[in-house]
Amino acid sequence: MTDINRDEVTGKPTTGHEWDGIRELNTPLPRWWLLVLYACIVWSIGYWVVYPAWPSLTNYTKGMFGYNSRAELAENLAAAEAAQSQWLSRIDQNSVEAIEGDPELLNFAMAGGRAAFNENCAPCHATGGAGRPGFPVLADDEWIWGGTLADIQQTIQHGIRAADDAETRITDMPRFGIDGLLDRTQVNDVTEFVLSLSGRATDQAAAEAGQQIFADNCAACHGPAGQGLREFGAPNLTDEIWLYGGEKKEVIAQIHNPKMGVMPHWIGRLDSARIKMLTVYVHSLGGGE
Amino acid sequence: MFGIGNWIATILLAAISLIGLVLWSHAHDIGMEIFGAGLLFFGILMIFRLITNAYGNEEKLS
Amino acid sequence: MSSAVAAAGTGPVHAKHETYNEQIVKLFTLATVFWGVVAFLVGVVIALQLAFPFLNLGLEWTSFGRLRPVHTSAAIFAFGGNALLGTSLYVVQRTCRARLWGGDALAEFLFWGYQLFIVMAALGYVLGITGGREYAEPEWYVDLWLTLVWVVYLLIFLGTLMKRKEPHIYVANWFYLAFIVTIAILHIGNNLAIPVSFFGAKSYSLFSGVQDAMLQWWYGHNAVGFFLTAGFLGIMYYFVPKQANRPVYSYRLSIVHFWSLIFLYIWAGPHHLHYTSLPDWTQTLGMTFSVMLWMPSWGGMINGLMTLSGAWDKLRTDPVLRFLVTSVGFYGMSTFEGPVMSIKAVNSLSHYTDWTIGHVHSGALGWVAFVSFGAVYFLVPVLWKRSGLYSQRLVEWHFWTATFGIVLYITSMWISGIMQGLMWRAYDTLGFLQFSFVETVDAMHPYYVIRALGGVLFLLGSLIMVYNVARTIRGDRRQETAIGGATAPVRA
Repeated sequence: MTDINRDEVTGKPTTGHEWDGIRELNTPLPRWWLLVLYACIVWSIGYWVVYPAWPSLTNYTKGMFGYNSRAELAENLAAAEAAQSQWLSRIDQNSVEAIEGDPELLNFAMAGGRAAFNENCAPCHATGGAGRPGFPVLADDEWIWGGTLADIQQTIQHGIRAADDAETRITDMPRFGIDGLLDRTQVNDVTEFVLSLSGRATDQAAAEAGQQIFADNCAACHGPAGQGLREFGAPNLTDEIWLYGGEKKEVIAQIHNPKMGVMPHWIGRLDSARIKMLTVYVHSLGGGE
Repeated sequence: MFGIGNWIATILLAAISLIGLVLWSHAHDIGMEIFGAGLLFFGILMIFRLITNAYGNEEKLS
Repeated sequence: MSSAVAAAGTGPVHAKHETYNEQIVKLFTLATVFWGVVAFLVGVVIALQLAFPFLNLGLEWTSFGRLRPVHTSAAIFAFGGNALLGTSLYVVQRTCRARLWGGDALAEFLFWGYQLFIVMAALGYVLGITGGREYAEPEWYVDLWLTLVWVVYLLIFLGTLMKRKEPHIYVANWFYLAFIVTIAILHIGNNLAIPVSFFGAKSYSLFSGVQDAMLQWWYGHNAVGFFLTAGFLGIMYYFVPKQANRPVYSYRLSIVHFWSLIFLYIWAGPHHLHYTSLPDWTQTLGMTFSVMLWMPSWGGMINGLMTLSGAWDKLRTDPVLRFLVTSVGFYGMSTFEGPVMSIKAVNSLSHYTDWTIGHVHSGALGWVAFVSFGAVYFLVPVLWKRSGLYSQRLVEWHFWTATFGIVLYITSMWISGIMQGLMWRAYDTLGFLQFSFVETVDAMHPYYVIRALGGVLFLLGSLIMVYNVARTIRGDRRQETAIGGATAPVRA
């Protein structure tokens, strides 16, 4: 045990060197370690034989089957397209009404519409068309611009107040407050009247005073009874659905300086089959007319 | 002793400081301004350290 | 930890008294602790930003995109870098029995020059100045400064090796030297860029397209290989045998795994670019070399773990050793997971998902940080000439808090990443994608919260370390019963 080239605890030989008290055992390489290393090397060599691997100055080894990941991608894409092409061309050739009438086509359009909706529409309208503040719910029967298949298709194709689209749906609500069309009291009164339409007025006298202001300024678009007018995209004011909020201060804000939402046009961004599928899907969400 | 190595270091650090000053004064953007100022003060402070260390060592020896 | 001091004291029997530059190692050790906390804190912040986006605060300087490189650079280069520089300068002096080459002033230049690099890089990121290359974001002027500092580092290290009084170079120093030399090459290679003007921060890469991408990932992967693996293996090869007071398991294994690791690692970069416009043959080579790298990586793990043979019982009583050994375990796990993820079939699922983030963190938290914590706990009593750490119990607390944090982190990222990958590729029977991108983001939310919780635990652990280190430096010693039995861990 006086042999300095042996470890006292295990009795194994050391290399005889010492650095700052650290010594090294002279253990041989673990057998399993070496075998697995060799196995990995053999596997790699095999892989090089089968797949493209080693470059030369002008070329590279192609492997046994001439594998090419770009060709594989092109094949996959072509296969995916081929699998859907029959369906898509049938969607293309039929009107949205006809698609809805054909159970097979409807099934396909609903699946495609849902995928397209979640990718393109859900960021604003939320999954399932549940809506977000400022972005209308699509799953109810309150429609600002109309809820028939044709209306929905038109909206998706050309958007709302979309730039660079001549056929886009567009109206402007006047900025009654900041443009001085109504003074503060008048805005307050007409707000009370609007709230009274859904039975929520807080000041009956003001609401009565607001009735005439409404008739003079608002009824042309929102209708004499405030039930809304879709040609102008003027929402129904008599129900509990408020795009920009139904609290009194929110209604005042909307009259004072209206927010007017924008939806992009999708023609040119999605093909016509996809827009049709989207139309059918949105129509089915709950409020289709 | 303020040895020859310290003199070389001081000269190099002075050069770094000068480069920093030039970069700072000519800088086109905030990044280069900060970098120039950083180099300048880095060089000056390092030279200051060299001096204090050298005199500290002398006092320890004496 | 009286053990460490005892070991240092009983050092080389034949030693004539040699003084070392320990002042610089003290500075690097303190910087390691400081930047560690910074890196973990920013990591927690950006993890929370991913779970709760309002925490971006709507300010450009605090947005995720700018804070993310602050986190990665702080973790890799500030925390990891200071740990590597500090321990390497300590180890090279001790194992060469030589004071640092170039004098104390040069060492001090290295320390402050490196800190200046860190601060310049971080300020740049926050201000939106970036080269846009992952883990190499600093712009050209910071790159040049780091090059200068790094050359000084290489000179100090090489110079000290040259004037050594030991006949052989200890294995830890091979790894440190490989790290220093290769990082120099990688840093210069990947940052070849042309400044727009001499007095402006902006520059453009010398390369373009897929060649630029390949260069970036040649750098990126070898930053992992040589900074976070080879360098930290240097730490492991000194501090594990030292703390366990056992000889290194196998000298032959250390030679074979060192050279095979060095030779194979440099080829592995292309596995970051599977299924891109990178040519197929390059992808094949990147993948196969990554698989061949498995055993060379594990050579380090075997040498680290088996060094404990004859001393396994110390794991019960010595939490510092437990940090070191657990780090080796995490190292083994990550270096197995890495080759698996480099296989193209696996990569097609894992790439671009959180799985990658989990993999990186099992390496960064489990291996890099744990081995650094072990080294810090070893060094502080030795450097400040204390009889031991303030409290072993607090080391124990740090260990379990951090371990639990890592487990939360990596398991949540595994689940989240694999789920994300499966959701991305899910088709229905009619050939439509089953999930949109926002739906996959939505599904990941709970795992982001768990991940942030794991980060918070890891950060808490590091704060325990700060307290313990500070009290140790003050010279305090907590009255406590020894861990794992009545007898205190005193080494013979």
